[in-house]
Amino acid sequence: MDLSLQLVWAGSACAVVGVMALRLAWGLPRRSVAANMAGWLLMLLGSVLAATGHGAWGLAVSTLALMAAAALCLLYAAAISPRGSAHATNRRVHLLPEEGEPLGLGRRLATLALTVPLAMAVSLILAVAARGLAARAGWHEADANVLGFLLMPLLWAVIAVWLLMARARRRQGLILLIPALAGGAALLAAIAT
Amino acid sequence: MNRPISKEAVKRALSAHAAIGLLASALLYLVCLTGTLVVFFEEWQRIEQPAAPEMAVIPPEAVQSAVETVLASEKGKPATRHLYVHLPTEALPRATITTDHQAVHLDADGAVIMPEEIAWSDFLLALHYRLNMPAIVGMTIVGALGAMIVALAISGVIAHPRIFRDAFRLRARDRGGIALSDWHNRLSVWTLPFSVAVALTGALIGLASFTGYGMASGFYGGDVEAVYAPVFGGEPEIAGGDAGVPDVVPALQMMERDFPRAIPYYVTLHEPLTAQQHVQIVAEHPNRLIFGEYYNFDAAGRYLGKAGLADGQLGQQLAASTYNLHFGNYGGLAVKFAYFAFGLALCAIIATGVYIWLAKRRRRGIDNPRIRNVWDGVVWGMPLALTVTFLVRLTVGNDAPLMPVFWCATALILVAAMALAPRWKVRAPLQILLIAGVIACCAWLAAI
Repeated sequence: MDLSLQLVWAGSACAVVGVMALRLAWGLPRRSVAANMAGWLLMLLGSVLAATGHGAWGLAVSTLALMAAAALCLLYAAAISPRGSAHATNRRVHLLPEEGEPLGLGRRLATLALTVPLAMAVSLILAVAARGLAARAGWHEADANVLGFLLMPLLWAVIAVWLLMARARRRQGLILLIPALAGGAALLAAIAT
Repeated sequence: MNRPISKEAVKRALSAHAAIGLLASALLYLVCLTGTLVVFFEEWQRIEQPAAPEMAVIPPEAVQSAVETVLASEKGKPATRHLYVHLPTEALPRATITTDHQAVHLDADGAVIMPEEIAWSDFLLALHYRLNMPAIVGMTIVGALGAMIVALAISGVIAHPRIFRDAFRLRARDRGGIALSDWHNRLSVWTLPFSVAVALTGALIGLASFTGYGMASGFYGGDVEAVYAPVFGGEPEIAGGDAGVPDVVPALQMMERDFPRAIPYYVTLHEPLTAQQHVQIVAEHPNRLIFGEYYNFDAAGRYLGKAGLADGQLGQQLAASTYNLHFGNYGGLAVKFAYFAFGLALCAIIATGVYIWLAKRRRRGIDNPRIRNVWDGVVWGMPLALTVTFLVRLTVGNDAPLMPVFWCATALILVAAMALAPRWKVRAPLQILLIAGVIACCAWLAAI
């Protein structure tokens, strides 16, 4: 086995040990910063070793090992969990009306329109503008285009969450309008040059 | 001490998390379920057509002979735009030629043995990629669902400030909704790298057409292909050459001689039998996330260059890595099984998310037996409908109408679930039928 693969295996082992260390640390009767740090640092070291060995492939493999170790810890926790009587919260999420409340269909559809097509369009403007600015800043065309492809869904996800967390319509409008205007201006500037 | 996230922000994030999850829940579940199964795409093909010839390698001369045979068999038909030769790989040790008109399996000598019959595997892939809809619309919807999973991950982390502190706390035997919440939250936090990776890559792949149109309109005068050319390589310059059958032998021999670490798995003939024809070989680079590198040759097998997916710009390598990272085919069966397990976990997260919401409403005195029954229909009925399509494929054959069978079975289950509530609960019968269906599939496969 070559050194690169050995580093990936060592990194994966480190990540697994890191998960176990974190599990032990969080199981201590009193919180230990040192024990917690040890767990996190081992996981980080595992990722660094694996990425040093085989780049993105190594990192992906070591992350799978980390998640598998965590899954085993969870299964163990489920197996030894005692029967309890605590109750979960009953907090409302306001998706459907409670008894006697109006349906508010128009309001709900407006939120849907803001979050799906409009937020999607704003994300596209921002992603294409970012692509234009990156190319203008001297990025290679391939890097600039892939930046645009990557940013579009990421920005959409962030904007959707931001919109849904903002209750007031005015604030929601600003969340869409300001990035749309800024992105539009940047896009026009990038196209013009 | 100030909380890093205010109580109000947590409350709003939880509402946002629930709104996204609930609105998209059924489609998210279907995409995750099919994605979990499609991890074994190559293995499904082998199960579906067990009699197809298999081999570890096929000599270049045999490939050439098969290409000539297939092209000769299509005389009189409209010219195919592409001819693909799948070369044997560890996951799928079969040689197959696909054109616009047919797909056939070869033996190790290059003789055409039988037609390729993998309708169920293709149906499953199409269901995952585009929900059986027309390509661009379907892929954009699936891409949007990927973006929504990323949004769920973001809102989920904000909505649960103790999510990392409680990462190992699993009160699996508690009642009153605790166990369900703990399973949902614990699985979510520990599969977060997987969920974000597959969701973001899926969103990127699915929304690429939409984003590509945007970039093409802004910077390439509407030419979408020009957006992709710097990333995946454009059409090579061909100086109007011979329109005879292209020679793939020198190209494959050169790959073995000059790029010994690259493992060719596809030979593509572009515009075969025209003056613009050229040969492209896709070769895997072991221990890399990229799906491969494109090596270009002219029709006589002279090397023209490569696209740069393996060692070109960072953007090229990143774009080429999205597919393997999404589908989990970068580390053999071990990685596939890991993806399968984490994919099931993602399905469980989606399923429990809706159950948590229903349980909260019930505890507040608002029971929704109809919604609960329909959600049971989604969670257990969709896998059952997929099992039915597989059984139909096994019994009826490759021409079975799998798409209508799946959607009709799903609709029937959901309508029945709605109609039978509140008197009858469908969860247990669906679970029994699913187990019976899986056993029937296994028995049928064992028998053949």
